Amino acid sequence: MHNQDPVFHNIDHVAGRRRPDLQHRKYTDGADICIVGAGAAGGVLAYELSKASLNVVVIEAGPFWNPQTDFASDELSMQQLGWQDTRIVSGSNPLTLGHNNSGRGVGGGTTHFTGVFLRFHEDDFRTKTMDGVGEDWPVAYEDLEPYYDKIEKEIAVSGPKHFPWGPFQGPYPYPEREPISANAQLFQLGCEKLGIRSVVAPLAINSAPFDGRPPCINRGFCNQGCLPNAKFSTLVHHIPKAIGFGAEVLSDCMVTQILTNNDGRVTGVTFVHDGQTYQQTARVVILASFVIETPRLLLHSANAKFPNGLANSSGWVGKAIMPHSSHDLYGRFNEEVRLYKGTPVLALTQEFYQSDPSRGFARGYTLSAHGSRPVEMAKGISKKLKLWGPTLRNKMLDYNFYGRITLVGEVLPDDKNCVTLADEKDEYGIQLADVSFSYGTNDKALIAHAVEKMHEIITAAGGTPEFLVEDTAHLMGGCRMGNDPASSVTNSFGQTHDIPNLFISGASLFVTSSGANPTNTVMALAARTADYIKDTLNQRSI
Amino acid sequence: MEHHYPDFDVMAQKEHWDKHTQQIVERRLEAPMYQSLSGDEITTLSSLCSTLIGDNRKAVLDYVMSHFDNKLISDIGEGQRQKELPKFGQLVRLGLKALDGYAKSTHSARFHQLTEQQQSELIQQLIDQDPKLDVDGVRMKAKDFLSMIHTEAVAAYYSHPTVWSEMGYAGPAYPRGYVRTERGLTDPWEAKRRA
Repeated sequence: MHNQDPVFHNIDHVAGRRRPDLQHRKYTDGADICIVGAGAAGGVLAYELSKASLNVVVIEAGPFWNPQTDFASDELSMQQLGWQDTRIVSGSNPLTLGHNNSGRGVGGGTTHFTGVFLRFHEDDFRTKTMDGVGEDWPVAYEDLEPYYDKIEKEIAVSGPKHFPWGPFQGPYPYPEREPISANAQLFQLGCEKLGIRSVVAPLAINSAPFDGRPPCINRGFCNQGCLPNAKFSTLVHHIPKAIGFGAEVLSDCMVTQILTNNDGRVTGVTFVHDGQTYQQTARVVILASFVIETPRLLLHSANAKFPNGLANSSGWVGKAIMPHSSHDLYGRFNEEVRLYKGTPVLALTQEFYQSDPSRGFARGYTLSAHGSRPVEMAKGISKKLKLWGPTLRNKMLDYNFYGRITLVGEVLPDDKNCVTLADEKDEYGIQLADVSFSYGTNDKALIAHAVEKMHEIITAAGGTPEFLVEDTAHLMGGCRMGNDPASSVTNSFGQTHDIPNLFISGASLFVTSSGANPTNTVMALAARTADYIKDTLNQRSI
Repeated sequence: MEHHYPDFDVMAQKEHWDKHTQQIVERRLEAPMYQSLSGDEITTLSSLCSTLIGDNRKAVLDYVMSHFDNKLISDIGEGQRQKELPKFGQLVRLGLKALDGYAKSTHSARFHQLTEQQQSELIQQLIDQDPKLDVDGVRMKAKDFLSMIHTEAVAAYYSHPTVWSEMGYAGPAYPRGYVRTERGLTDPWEAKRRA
């Protein structure tokens, strides 16, 4: 396949099955399932539901990437793997969006995530009961456990023989990665000296050949798209398999409206491709369009029957969004660390994951050794003009001598952190999302504790902590699940309380954020939703 | 500026990179073909970027300028925009006008006509005092404007292969990847520190 215009190519990737006008599609007369968004959740759903012989259409706003010709070993140009459409940001800690926490195109965020593949712990699903903060989930760890097992096996997660924290202690389906990077070695050395246990990170990256994909070559550009296809993404794993089972993927198609009928059920969606508007009808619609676009679409689709937006009788659509606090600490070493080499995250610790009342805050965090490249480091350490001119340039000339640790810290849900509609409109006439976020007191205390630990680890490893970069990672919440329709948007399967054939999948369902990378939990929840939809469609009860 | 790797040229390795990456990086060495920026905007922005990144070499600045020009004609979104800020294009253009206006009020000259030292002092002053700049009926904080220019200038500057070479950043690594990743080890083609 030769390189073509990244916006339009691959639109007819199901060769011979689609005409360019998109009036003639595989399921023009209606599908069983219409999934909005082809990311971590949408990929799993498309795969599971098409495998069950359901007619599945996946509508994705971005391109159908071809890694070999669209990805590159370059930070700046690969920003395009993030959702770059403008959002308005507000609050005391306005979020950085785009590549920082979202995906665009088939594969969604999995095309550029670090591949860190952790489970949540039992307590993550009952923070209210355990710590009196946040809210309990309507699912327990035990409900998700079989799905974690399934997903990890399905994509051959590599990891240590023994994982010392939480209910799952290994072994992982594939052996842990080796060799690790100098940065990961220094992190483990610092931890060791302080008596902090650390492990080689569990990763959705091949440590040996798997499913026709090669092992990792330590190129290090996980966040820019994996060229050898050694890292899992739904682009290279679930979506091609789903197409094999008959699913149709409509890429470069922006869903603009969810359609409902007089009975208060959804009938399908409208979408725009190349300036033309089309309709896709379906028995079930699943929004797997992440934390900002899902509530935006629900709010924008308001009509006479649902004046406050679809599935929003509770008023919780768009509320309680959470990033992870993700501060970075760069430390200067006397030796070259070369943060560009190897998979970015190869070692981590969850020693501070559990709540500990003696620390003065609830909940906890994961610390990871985290690689970095020149653009990311320079932008980070100079944020808000902290460094500029010759001072910045001088520091960056020592780039090879820095190591880095990154926080994944739990942020508590707060209904004031929310997605609403702004006045300004986009090219489709849809109001932009206004995303408001401010840290709470507990969040700040947790960050302070983590930053101190990061200082200690870098110092123990022989480094000098130099630059603390305030940052966030991931997004969760905004359409939380729950047992009470008055204070949640969906049930534990992602089925909206208000509209039985409208589902939500993905990180937007999260009730709390945990202190761990979310993708494993996103995919496990999606697999559970898929089982539920298969069962209920069989019983004809949707 | 002195650096650790005077013998390293990342572009000497380019035939080991995939074609797509080669094209992207090689394009950064071309002279700018302005489609959006013009006249005073070019001279002011170029001096401002040079001050903010601490490097006045034309070859590198050229790419920084191309980056801004491309961004100004692109219809790709901004990712995020703070509620109180004007759109990217407006912020850049009005900000540049305001910067020249400010320089005229303090030094009776446009920003690019000042000495490098005067430029640095003026920027430091704007950062410290963060005055509100009024231009064409739009009000913006000096720091919001400078911060936006700085972020974009840094992103472009640290994407230039000359800068990669000076830092000893080995850059693109496909299809060969890295074999020697542990402490103290380097692959034969990576930058070696001059003893």
